[in-house]
Parts: sequence; structure tokens; C-alpha cells
Amino acid sequence: MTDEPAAYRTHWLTWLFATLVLVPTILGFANKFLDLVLVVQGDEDGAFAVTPIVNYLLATAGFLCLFVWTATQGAFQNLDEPSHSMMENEHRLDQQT
Amino acid sequence: MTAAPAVLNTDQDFPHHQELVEERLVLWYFIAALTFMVVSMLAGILMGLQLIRHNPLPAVELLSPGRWRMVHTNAIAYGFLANAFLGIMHWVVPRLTLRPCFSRSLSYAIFAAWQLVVLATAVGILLGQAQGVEWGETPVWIDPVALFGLLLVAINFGTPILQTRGPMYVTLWYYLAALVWTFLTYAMGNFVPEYFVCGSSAGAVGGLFIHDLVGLFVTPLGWGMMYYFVPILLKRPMWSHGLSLVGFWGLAFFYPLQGIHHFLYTPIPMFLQYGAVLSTIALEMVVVTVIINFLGTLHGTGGLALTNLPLRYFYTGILFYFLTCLQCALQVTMTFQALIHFTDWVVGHAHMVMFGVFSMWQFGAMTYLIPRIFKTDWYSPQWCEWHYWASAGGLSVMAGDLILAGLFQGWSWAALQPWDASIRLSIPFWSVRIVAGLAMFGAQILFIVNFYLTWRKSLRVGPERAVSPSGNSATA
Ligand code: HEM
Repeated sequence: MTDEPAAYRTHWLTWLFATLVLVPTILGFANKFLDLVLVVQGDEDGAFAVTPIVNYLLATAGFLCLFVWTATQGAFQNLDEPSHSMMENEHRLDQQT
Repeated sequence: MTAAPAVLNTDQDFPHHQELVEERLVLWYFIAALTFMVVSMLAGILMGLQLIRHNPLPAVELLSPGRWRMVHTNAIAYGFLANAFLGIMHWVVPRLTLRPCFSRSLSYAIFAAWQLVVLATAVGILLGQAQGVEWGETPVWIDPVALFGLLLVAINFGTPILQTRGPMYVTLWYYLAALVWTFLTYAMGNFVPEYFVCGSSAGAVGGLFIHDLVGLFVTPLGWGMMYYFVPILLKRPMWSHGLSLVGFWGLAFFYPLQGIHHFLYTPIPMFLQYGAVLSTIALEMVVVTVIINFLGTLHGTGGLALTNLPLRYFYTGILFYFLTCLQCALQVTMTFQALIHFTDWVVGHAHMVMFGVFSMWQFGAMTYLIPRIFKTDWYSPQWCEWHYWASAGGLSVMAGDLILAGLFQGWSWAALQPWDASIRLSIPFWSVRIVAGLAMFGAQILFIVNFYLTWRKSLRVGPERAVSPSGNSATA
């Protein structure tokens, strides 16, 4: 059902944007996290920053697990398939009414 | 509780729309949403009048402008946006999962309970019981009830979503995440600063809360519905479903860290502020993926975005989304922030996001769904057009006016002019805001009258014919 060029486009666009987004953010975040560790070690007052960071880390850890689980379930194998089945189901629902 | 494949093959297996969607409830949610929209707009107009020194209700403590302002923002967020999204979800989730919501009676109970929560919030605020948390002004005693309500919402919609088998369509990803995020965000924002931390730490959590409320409650529900409605109106699948998943996971990972960009130049440590700046930049990339995808889907059928009214609402919202994100790219730099912090630029930005983007999308969905549910065309397609033009036009004037006002205020403060001078220069801008606000208000009243008369028409003529699923019944 998926035509070749669409699948190819999906493939490279997905990787391109994923890289564009991920690389600077991981670098930036790691750098700032290092800052946090230094602040917490040297300055007791800076420790309050732990609250928002821990919030974020917990949320992200949850998402990372979900992401890995989703990948292992094969959700990223045929990326355009859900889109096509959704259109087909909609069509069938509309035909009834 | 049995698993269903993504596409059911035999016609006997295939569920009927009537078994899936509780259409009456969708309408009730829309009625509640529009009622709170009217309340909120009246409160906005009152607050706006106060700013130009024409408070029509002076010396009435219960109706003092500070309280009206909170009624304005809370009625919009929890009364209009939340109700409209819930109504839309009652249509979208069952049709995408091919399963009804968890329980019909629970759906109605949630509807009633949510209206009570919003009403109690408004009354509590007017009585002076507001909680000292921005966007979390809901009185403290309502918070646990509201949170319980959110849990029930998650169960009601989460059940059919989790029962689907096979790779999920992107809308369902957004919805599933929003159900969890809204619950957690609400708990974090209302309980952590109230009971666990104080000072700048509470400020940092408050920053996360206000931004996450937009990004993890409104945004996923908004994009979720867009990924559903746009392809079915254009009758073609999304340009790239994979790219839409990049958008989803990008939001999941980068949004939560951004909140502190509301509090640049505060006592919150700079590394946290820079962290927020960085993740905002990353999210700008994510936004680009989403916009490319919607433009790619439209490619070759652009004319439809002009002639089909629901689609026009959707793509106007996308345009405003792009503009607000462009603003964000400026706002998040420290240099620009120094100019616009605390000015009306931010208020202009807030109206552009909340009204220009999310309300426009919701109006698009309502314009499409109401005639389908009543099984008759709009009473007056012409009024639908007026609703669109007065809403979009009024908002453009209001946002442009406030954004400009913000720049002038910032320059006035940077020049160290007295505070009074910045107030004097703001009055003409604030007056224009009232005029634009009245146009937007008039548009909603017209829409409500049209809604009512369409209902009356449907009673009179009975189901005229199956209204075209293309959404053209609103096109004059
Ligand atoms: C009749 C139309 C409206 C008028 C006259 C109006 C007026 C106002 C006023 C006077 C404020 C307070 C600004 C300040 O404190 O300086 C405000 C804030 C706000 N309004 Fe409206 N408003 C209107 C419609 C809306 C709509 C339809 C929405 C959302 C869909 C909305 C969302 C907001 C938000 C989010 C804020 C808070 C902004 C911030 O804190 O930065 N308003 N509005």
C-alpha cells in the first residue's frame, strides 16, 4: 500500500530531523547537567535547582522507556502504515452513514 | 477487552459509528465550551476596560478587576479549551480505535463533574480564594477533585487507546501522552509549590507548570486533533507519518525542560535558564518538522484551504502557530527578553497562541462536526464565514496591537522614562484591544446563535441528508 518514494522520503526525513534535533540538545543538556552537578557540589543554595531537574529527568526516563518499548514492538517498522489504515477505517465508517 | 487489528476486514466485524460515538455528549461539551468562552470574554473585556480606566463596576470587591482577570484566564483554559477538546476527543478516539470510550455513564459523569469544577473555580476566585499559583488559581480545596476528574478522563479515553493493537496512529500517541501529562502537570503545579517547596524553587516549578500546561495539555490535544481532521478533510494521508512521530517524540523529550524560559533574568540559576533556552531551540526544530508535514499534506490542494471553511480554520491556526513560534525564537534570546519582559508583547503572544491557534482549530472542528451531528447543513453558512473573519481579523488586530504596545513599553522603560509615561503611551493600544475584543466577542455570539438555529432547523426538517464528510456544509 505504501508507495516507494513516500517510504524513502519518510525514512531520510525522519533521520535527518531526528539528528538535527537530538545532537545539539544532547550536547547542550549534558553540558548544563554538568553545571548543575558542579553547583550542587560547591554551593548549597544551588541545590534547590534539583527540583525542576529531577522532575525533568523522571519524565524523560519514563519517555525513554516508552520509546524503547515502542521500538521493540515494531512500531517504527512501517512508518506510514497507521496513516493508511486510519484513512481506510474512516472511509468505511463514513460509508455506513 | 479483546484486541482489535488496526483494520477490520469483514463488514460484520466492523463497528457502526452510532455504537462508537456518543454524539449528544459531543454537543454538550461544545455548548459548555462556548458558554465559558462568553464568560471569559466578558471578563477579558471588563479587565481591558479597567486598564483604560473605565471600570464599569468600581468599588464592588467581588467583581474587582484582579479577580476578573483570573476568571478570564481560568474560564478559557479549563472552561473553553478543555471542554472543547473533550468534546472533540469523544468523536475522534472511538473512531480511531474503533471502540467506544470505557463507559458511557462515566463519560456523562465526567462531563457534569468537570462543569462543577470550572464553576466552583470561578466562584472561588470571585470570593477571593484564589491559590497563589499562576494558571493554578483554582482554590486549593478543588485541586484534589480536579485531579481525580483528570484521572477518570485518562481511564475513560486511555482504555480504548491502550486496547488497540499494532502501530498506533500519531493522534493516539498525542492523546495518550496528553492524558498522562495533564494529570502529572496539574499535580506538579498545584501541589509542589503549595506544600513542598518555596521561594525561587517554587518559582522554577511554577515556570515548568505554566509552560507545561500549554505544551503538555493544550499542544498535544491540539496537534492530535489536527492529525485526524486535516487528512480526512483533504482525503489523503499525512505527507509523512514518520515525520509526525519525530514531532511527537521531540515534544515529549524537550518540552518539559522549557518552562524556565518564562523566568529569564530571575534569581533562578543561569544554567537552568540556559537549559531552557537550549531546549526551546531544539523544539523550534521539532515545530519545523510538524509544519513541513502539514504543508506537504496540503501540497497540490492548496485551494481547498481557502474554500473549505473547517480547513481554512485549521491552516489559519497553523499560520498563527508558525508566527508564535517565530516570536518564541526571538523571545528566548536574552537580548530580546530584556526588552519585552513584563510588557504587553507577552499578552499579545498569549492571545495569539490560545485564540489564534488552539481556539481556531477548535472552531474548525466545531464547524465541521456540528452539521454532521445534526445531519443538516448550517442554518447560515454566511454567518459561519462571518464567525471566521471576525475571529481571525479581531485576533490579528488584537495580537498585532499588543505586540507593538509591548515594544513601545519596553523601549520606554529602557529609556528610563517614568512609569506613568509608559502607561500613557499604552492607553491607545489598550483601547484598540477593546475594539478588537468586541469584534471577537460578537463573532462568538453569532456562532452560538447559528448553532442554536441549526439545532432548531434539524428538529424541523429532520435529517435532511447525510451531510458530506468533506465539511463543505459551512461554505457559503
Ligand atoms: C473579548 C476578547 C478578549 C479581551 C478583551 C481580552 C483581554 C485580556 C486582558 C485585558 C488580559 C490581561 C492582560 C494584562 O494583565 O495586562 C488578558 C489576558 C489573557 N487572555 Fe484575554 N482577552 C480576550 C479574549 C481572550 C481569549 C479568547 C483567550 C484565549 C483563547 C484569551 C487568553 C488570555 C490569556 C492566556 C491571558 C494571560 C496573558 C498573560 O498572562 O500573559 N483572551 N486578556
